[in-house]
Amino acid sequence: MSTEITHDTAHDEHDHHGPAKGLMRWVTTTNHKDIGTLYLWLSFIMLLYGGGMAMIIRLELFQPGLQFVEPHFFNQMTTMHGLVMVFGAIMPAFVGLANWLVPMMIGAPDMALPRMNNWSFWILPFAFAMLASTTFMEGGAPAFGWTFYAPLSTTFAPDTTDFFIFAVHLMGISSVMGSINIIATILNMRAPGMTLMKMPLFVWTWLITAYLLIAVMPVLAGAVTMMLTDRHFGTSFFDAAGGGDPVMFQHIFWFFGHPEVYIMILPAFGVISAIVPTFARKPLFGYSSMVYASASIAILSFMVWAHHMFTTGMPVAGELYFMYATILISVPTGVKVFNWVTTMWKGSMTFETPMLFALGFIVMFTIGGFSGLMLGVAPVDTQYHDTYFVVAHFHYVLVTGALYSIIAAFYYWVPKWTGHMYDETLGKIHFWWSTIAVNVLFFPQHFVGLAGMPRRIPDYSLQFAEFNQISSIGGFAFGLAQVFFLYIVIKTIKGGVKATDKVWEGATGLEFEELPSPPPYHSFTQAPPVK
Amino acid sequence: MQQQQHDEDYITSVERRRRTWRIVVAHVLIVVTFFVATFLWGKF
Repeated sequence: MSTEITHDTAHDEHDHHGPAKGLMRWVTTTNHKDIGTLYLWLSFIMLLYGGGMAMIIRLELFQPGLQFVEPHFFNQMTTMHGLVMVFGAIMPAFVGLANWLVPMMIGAPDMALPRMNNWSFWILPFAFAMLASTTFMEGGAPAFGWTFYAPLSTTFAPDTTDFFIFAVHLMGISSVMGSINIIATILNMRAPGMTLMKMPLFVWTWLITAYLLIAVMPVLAGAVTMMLTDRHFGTSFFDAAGGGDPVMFQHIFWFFGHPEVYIMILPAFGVISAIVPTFARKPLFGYSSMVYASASIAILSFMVWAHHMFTTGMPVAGELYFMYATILISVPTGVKVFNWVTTMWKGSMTFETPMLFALGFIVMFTIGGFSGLMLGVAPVDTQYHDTYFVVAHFHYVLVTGALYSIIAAFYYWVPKWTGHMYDETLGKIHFWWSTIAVNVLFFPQHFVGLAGMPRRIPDYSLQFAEFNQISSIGGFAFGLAQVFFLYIVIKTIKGGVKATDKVWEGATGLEFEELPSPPPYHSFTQAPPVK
Repeated sequence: MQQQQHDEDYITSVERRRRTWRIVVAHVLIVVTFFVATFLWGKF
């Protein structure tokens, strides 16, 4: 046997080719690095698109009364903002990171199924173009919230809902194909010696995330298919008048929706677990406990969905079960935060931009985690439900959590990807600008929520005016900071100080120790040695 | 010695391809199962 990874077919001689030229390179590529880049750009475009809608929302909420948009259009904005950010910005960004990093981290030459990888990506621009186009159609875009509860999304929904359903199906197909590809790559393409318990945490968290995806995306597909048949084919899955049950929709949706939350945060844990040891110059504390904690979080995520539905009226025993199960998740999550902090303990720490964003993640994700604990307590959730407190909670988890980890990952790996160091001063300005703005944006929302301001409304009572103004100012500043980030991204791709192969003094892993910066178009055509 | 072990650990492309397809088929079955189960949950 040979260490040559591909050696039994003639077409494998393509290994030494560089990328094709022109636009067709990106359309026909099967290279994991190209496809990773495509995913990351799509997610950035979607971030700016979803962010634009957030600006409209914050502009309307700057003061009470109706100023700029009609209530129905406001509802379209909240709905589309949520859908675009969840399915278009956060999820594809992590898939992009997985494409770039998983093969390089496990010593594989590419993904296991490169052609399917191309297809997984190219489905998405069509799905989002179709979803976005509904804004310009008669009846407008979906306006029933990103959770698309029946009967708002069935009996009372506009005709454009069918485009939404088809778009969700396409996103689901893309995610399932991407997940199977990642699972096959991790289980079957590791270099000799790369045992499961030697894999970087990012690979582990993505393996677990991929299993979450293949379990819950078909449930989402089932939910929207039932919506479709309720709308057009005379079924009554969610129609009480025909013997169906609208609350059943919520159960099915949240059986998908809660694991979805962990789909968006587990890879973030993997990113932070790579960055913190590098800048603390110490190995990750409690590697195996991190793996088991990730698996525990994933398993528990399937058992807590109804904590989103405490106010629908469930038996007390049900409320107690879902409350305790939800709070139980804080144990493995706490293990992770403890391990990151312990990794830093007595480390030789430096605070380059990736580390700043990682530290921002740890502190502010924990704030989001604590407000999540409050929401998980059934009796008090009765007060918090559907208020701005919930909005504050999930934005701390998803913006200062998931998005911060994606930005941290960009700064950490972009010198490896491009061969150029980013501008450290600009990176630090980006961090402090974003961090001050994001707290001005979301922290006051806790207060208006606790005071009773409902979410998803274009107008509100006078007493909430000041906090909403502060929140809007923070929102505009945060939005502008991400345009600044776009400038940093383009500047880094176009040039900069040449990065060393190892990039960071404390960096470990095959991508830093065995590959140059930037890596060759086809890396690891020979299996690397694994220590 | 280490290099020899490294080489011996490595599986052939044919074997890898076979394993890949087994993994794909197994996971597609999981996806189909969850899809069908959702309709059963919805009292199809």
